[in-house]
Amino acid sequence: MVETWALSIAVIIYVLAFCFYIAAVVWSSDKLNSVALILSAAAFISQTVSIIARWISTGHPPVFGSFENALAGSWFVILFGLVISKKTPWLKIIGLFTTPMALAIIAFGVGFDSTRFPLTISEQSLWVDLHATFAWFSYSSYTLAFIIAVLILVNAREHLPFLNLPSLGVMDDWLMKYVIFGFVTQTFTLASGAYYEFIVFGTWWRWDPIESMTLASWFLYALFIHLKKSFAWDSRRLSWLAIISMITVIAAYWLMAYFPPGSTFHVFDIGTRVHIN
Amino acid sequence: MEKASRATAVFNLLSSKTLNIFLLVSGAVYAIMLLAWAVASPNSQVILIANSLPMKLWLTLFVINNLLCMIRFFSIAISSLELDKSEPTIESLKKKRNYITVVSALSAQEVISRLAARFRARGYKTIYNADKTTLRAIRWRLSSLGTLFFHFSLFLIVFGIVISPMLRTQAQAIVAEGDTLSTEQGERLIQVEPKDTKDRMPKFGFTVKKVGARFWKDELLFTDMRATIQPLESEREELVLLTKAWKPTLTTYVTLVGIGYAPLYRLVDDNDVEVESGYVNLAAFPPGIEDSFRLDTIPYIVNVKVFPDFRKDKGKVTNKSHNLKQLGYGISLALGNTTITSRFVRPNESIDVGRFHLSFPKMVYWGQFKIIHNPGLIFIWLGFLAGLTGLVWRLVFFRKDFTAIAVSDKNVQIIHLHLRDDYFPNKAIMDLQDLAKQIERWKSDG
Repeated sequence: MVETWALSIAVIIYVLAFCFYIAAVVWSSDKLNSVALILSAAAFISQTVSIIARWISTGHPPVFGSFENALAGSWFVILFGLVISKKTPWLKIIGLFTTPMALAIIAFGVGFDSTRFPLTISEQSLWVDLHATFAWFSYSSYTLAFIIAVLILVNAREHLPFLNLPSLGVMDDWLMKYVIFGFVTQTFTLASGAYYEFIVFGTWWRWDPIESMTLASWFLYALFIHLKKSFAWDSRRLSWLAIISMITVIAAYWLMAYFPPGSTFHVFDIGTRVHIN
Repeated sequence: MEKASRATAVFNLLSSKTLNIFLLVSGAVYAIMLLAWAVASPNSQVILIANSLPMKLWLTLFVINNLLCMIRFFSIAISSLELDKSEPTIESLKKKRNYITVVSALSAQEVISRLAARFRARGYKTIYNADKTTLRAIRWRLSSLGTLFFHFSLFLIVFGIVISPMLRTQAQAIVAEGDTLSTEQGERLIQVEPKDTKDRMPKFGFTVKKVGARFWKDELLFTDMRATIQPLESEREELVLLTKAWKPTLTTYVTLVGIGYAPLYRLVDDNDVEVESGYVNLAAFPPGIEDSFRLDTIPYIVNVKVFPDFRKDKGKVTNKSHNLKQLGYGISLALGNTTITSRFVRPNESIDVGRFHLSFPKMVYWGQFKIIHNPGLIFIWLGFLAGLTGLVWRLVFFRKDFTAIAVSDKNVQIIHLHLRDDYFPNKAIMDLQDLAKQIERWKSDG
């Protein structure tokens, strides 16, 4: 009950916050932006309450199943957005992008079964918790890199004075920062996933579709770092690469729910789970 | 001469950063193609495609490029670790990217001392010249070793992959509660992969103390499956789960991958004298599946269905859940293809067979243990560890070099500042500007 109410309230406030972010941009108002920020924080607290309520009732962190993953995913995106808007003044408008993203993720998640269920034996491992948590760190970081890449490209085409963006160089540094953080955490995600997979299945790499796609995105972000460091690519070309790489991340994560049953063992929803034996 | 220049050209190509970029792009494309295959084909086929010639070629080129890049750029990486002890000059700073000047009313020594204290507090190592008018502050000088670490880790992983098929063996064993398994009993190891590799298995053994399982509602979803084992020659008991392995050696992993039923059967005569008894490991899991065994005393085949949590509704027996709560058996005795008798029995009931009575007073679980021995794994895990260490070392704790030169000009000092930041040069210039503002505000009283 608490879980549903808290989530519903969070969604309503996110919508409100998004409207205020739009208004803040349209009227170039710092006050409206501050209101939007406060609303986002309030919605975030409400969503945290919902997550804690679910955690208590199921007895496990809500990162299993498409519904729970949407809860966790949107929470991480908002968390990163709030931290960044506090730490980086020019990105205070980031909520304009993160709140609709979080809403889209929640909307995607509620389309799936939200039945509370205990963890099956294959999910009861610290490794899988670490694997999922670091995956979210990495995906959230890549999402912010994606947003900055879009801002760099849009600003390069048409100057956006109302966003009060800093120089291209500064945005370029931040793009690199989020790619690096995402890359390091994604590497840990891959390593912890491989170890966990070995323990459960006896093999550490099975060319599962999610593994293949994650490897593809890992290669693309490695390419990003190499092109930046060794070939000194400029921000605009790197931004395109960050956007293309983000597509592989989205595909790796969001398309998995639609893979044919049995094609992946990254099975998230209770109805499609198979007996381990 | 021509031969030598051709060899140089090949070396340059194979060690080029361009080839490195090509390999990263082709690797990404190949992985995306494998994804498409994975959606349309069974996993075994995808693995077959993934291990085909193009992938092997890619992997070979990747290893060669990585190795040659490391050889080619090793000296540059090593030389960058050395601490440049020569005194910096204003001319050399002016040529650099992140360079600014600021004017201070304090003495040169005072400014340099304050800057040194500030950077020391942030973990920098500081070096002055004799008259304290220049300062170099360096943090994480060895960070480029992280790059070498990361690229070296790829060799460890590839080496592990290459040697694994030569050293690896995997088997399963079914061991009931109270039973002991030793890998020296080769006949008890089943599903050995690759075939005929039992002799690669190290010698160890264990006794199964307890096997338990729990399920979610009436679904075939295990919420708990665990075995407590006691290794031979050890007093300490170990817990074995699907996600928690017992490691008898550094490279051997034992996990519990399944369970089954092992009922105790008891055959007595009319005088209640036991003529035959024992545990029998049945393949009757999940409930509903029938398995059979033979008795020594009478020539019947005993077919058994296990109902771990039965309900009787209008004479029909159903299973409410898979949890072991209310045990019952569907027993039928057959002679050849002819069923002699068929009955549902509880643990305290028996089925009459002529002058004998067959009962199943107790049931335990057996555990299905997967045993994997693979010395190649050590290199793979070390590779992961080294790779992560290298990445964090290089990308998070990257080198920063700060230089300040104070030059007197009439009554003021001109402070020349430079900050080298490999990854975020634009942030570095902002940091320098902030620092310059603070220097301007510094007063002689501190």
